[in-house]
Amino acid sequence: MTVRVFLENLLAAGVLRGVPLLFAALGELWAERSGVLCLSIEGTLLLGALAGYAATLATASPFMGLLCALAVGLICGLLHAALVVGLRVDQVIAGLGLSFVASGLASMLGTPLVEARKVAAQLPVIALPSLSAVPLLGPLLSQHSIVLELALSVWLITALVFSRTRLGLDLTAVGENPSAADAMGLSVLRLRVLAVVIGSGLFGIAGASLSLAVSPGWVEGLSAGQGFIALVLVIFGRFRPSRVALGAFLFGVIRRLPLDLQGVTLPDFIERSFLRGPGSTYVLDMLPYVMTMAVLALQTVRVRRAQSETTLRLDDAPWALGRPYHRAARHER
Amino acid sequence: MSTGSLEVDLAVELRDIAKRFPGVQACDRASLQVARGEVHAVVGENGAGKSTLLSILGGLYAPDSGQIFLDGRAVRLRSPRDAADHGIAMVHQHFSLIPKLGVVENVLLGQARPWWLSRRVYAELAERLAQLSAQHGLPVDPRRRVADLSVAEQQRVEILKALYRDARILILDEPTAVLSPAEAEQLRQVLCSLRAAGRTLIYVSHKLDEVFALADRVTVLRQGRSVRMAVPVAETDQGTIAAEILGERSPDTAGAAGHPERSGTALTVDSPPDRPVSPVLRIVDLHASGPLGSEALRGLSLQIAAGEIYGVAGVTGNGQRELCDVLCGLRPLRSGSVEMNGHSVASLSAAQRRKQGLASIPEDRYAQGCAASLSVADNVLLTHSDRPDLAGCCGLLVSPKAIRAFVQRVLSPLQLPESIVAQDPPAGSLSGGTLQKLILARELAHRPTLLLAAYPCRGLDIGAMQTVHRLLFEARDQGCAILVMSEQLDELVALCDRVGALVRGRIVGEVALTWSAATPAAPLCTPPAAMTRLGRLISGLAAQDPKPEAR
Repeated sequence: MTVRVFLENLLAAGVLRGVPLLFAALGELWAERSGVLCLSIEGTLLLGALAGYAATLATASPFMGLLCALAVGLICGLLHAALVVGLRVDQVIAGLGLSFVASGLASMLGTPLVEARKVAAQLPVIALPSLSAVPLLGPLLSQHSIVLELALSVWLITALVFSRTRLGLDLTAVGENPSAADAMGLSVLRLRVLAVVIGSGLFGIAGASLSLAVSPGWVEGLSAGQGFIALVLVIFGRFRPSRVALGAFLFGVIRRLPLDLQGVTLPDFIERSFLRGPGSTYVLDMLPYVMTMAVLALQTVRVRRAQSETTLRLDDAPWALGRPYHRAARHER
Repeated sequence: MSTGSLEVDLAVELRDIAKRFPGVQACDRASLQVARGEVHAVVGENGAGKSTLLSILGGLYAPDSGQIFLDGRAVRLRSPRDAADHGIAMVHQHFSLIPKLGVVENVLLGQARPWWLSRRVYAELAERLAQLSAQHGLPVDPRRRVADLSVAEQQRVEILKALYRDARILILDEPTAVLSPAEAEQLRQVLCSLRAAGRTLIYVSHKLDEVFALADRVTVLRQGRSVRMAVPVAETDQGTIAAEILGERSPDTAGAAGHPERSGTALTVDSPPDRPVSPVLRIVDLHASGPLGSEALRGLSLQIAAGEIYGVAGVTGNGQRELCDVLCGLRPLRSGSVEMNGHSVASLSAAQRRKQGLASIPEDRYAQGCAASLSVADNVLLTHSDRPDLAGCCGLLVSPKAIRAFVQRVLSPLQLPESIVAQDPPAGSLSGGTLQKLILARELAHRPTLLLAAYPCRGLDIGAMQTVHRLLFEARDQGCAILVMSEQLDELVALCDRVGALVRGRIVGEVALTWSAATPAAPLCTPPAAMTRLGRLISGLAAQDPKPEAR
């Protein structure tokens, strides 16, 4: 096997792996840009995966499955928004709580599906044979699941919303300075609910993209911590849609690496290193987190360096992230 | 309520507005009548309900009771958007701008249209802003990011925003509190230009000289009530208004009247203390870096003796913050020496310096001066927690009884309202004045040899300001060396024995007031002469001449 074939296969599989990450991270980005930390991501993802799979089994239409996953995500989002935006429950507690409840619920409801051992239809694969000659990306472009197009369009829309529309501007304002946004006549409540519901809907779709395309089928714990990777991806991508997308595909490729490396003979020193041992998967699973911490540390260094320049560098994170907003509390600062 | 001015064409009328926040009756049947096209000042102490009353007009809070009339018609303002639709815009004390966004984006915020923000939208808006800023003398570069603008520029953006929305009624909540005197004068001209353009301005302030220089009529609020309504400034004087602000507390002891040169801000000057001798603080050729890596302090030298109040005058941003940080041990110095009581403190931590007798009143009293969510008593204890006399049970636990007695002893000279003593509310809920008094009392309870007071009276009303000054004088009389920073020359000149002008990180000149035992280098000045000379030093007119010109 040549290096080229190896890389082509790795890219084709890795980019696909990045799709659920991209959906989930973009969803998280919507919520966080408006100032709400959505830790319910992992649970919602699982529930969405289950809903998508179950609905596809029942209706034999994977698109119905996708819609159901979206609906489940939206419902979870409404619940989450009611808790953290409406009732101003601590966002960390509410998010983690919802996440565990949703994962538990998914495991419970999914048990009969695991035992039934039926196979549901998958989302269609798009074949574009004419593109197979493109170097490196050939196999990916010529044959891939439709979720890739879907993810890229969600990414494009998100990027446009946050760079070119009033809605994006308003959401940014609410995430940066809710009391100022309030004084400007924006409804903090409505905008945050909207952002959380859209974000959560994307978690649902992320789940369906897993169970209907990327790793088809339903097993308990299908998401395997990808919700948390999506969470750090937003930080890794510094709250910008384009970098988040890049990060999602990068992390997807990394996750795919141990599988693809199995059939390859590597130089001797790697063969004998821990990368080849039985624990190598775990090492690679750690990589996204390590890389995110490295990015964060680098950012601090860069901010410090930039202070010698004339312009002030601000933290990437929205200022009001994780802070509930209460108008009357302004009185007490 | 007085109804004497009903025949005037009223743009705004607030009638019997009441608003209660948990634990505070902020407005208690307050009323306000503002005529079209006038500058109407609303004055009162901190916590008199000015901000709350005008926030209600701005649509931020709904009143518990009372009515709002605009152009004679009763309206209900449910939200700031609602108020904006009625042509009301509010420039808040803490600006409502988003630092990360650009000027144009900030102006766009909260507008209903357009939903798609193409480059053309931005270009057109930038052009419109440039027009408006040229028209009213509000220079701002619309392409810049708000975080990179100065405070005065940010305020201009706020005003431009209101003008862009064509607000007829502009509410300015203590607009000059954050400005240097020169910037305040610029703002005054802008406001005059706006009045000439027919807009109605409501101006909240407690600087009476500003009010009298600018406003047409003035309303006085005290404890949530309007005690004087819409008095034309031509028919009254600063002493009368100051008396109305303070209420039953006599204006004579408050010292508001009878200071012809030091108008409005009402300062008293005590007799000079016995003469100081040895320097408590000696700074020689101090260099330190600023927030952007630039050199903020460049060769600053000064000395303060025991029992002396030394003022640092100057426009904010000339190294004041860095000097405070270096003295407190929060910022390393690059070179030079800082000695307290003859010992270098350069290598000491902030805590060690405090043990050596340093106390400080930080610039930002809510963020640095207190733990806002802790109670008043806990905040008093913050810096006293290791006092041996507060310990009980062999030093393992604290004794609640001793703590209560101690807190009471610290707070007793302040004469705080009963409710604060009894309810012990969170420090963050106190008004700026009350909190500042609390911080000062806490710091003085350490019996410091050196007290650093950064803008101790910024944003305070007359009553609180006088308490702060009284406490500073008492500390001085007990031999404490005090370093005071302020933007208000009149305050410094009334308070200090010597004042140095801080310009670009150096003390470029000093004046000693007549009651000071003069250091040979500094000229002895009467307060008015000192103000003139300091004004020249600060604005860079007088170079650093060692020879005094004013005697």
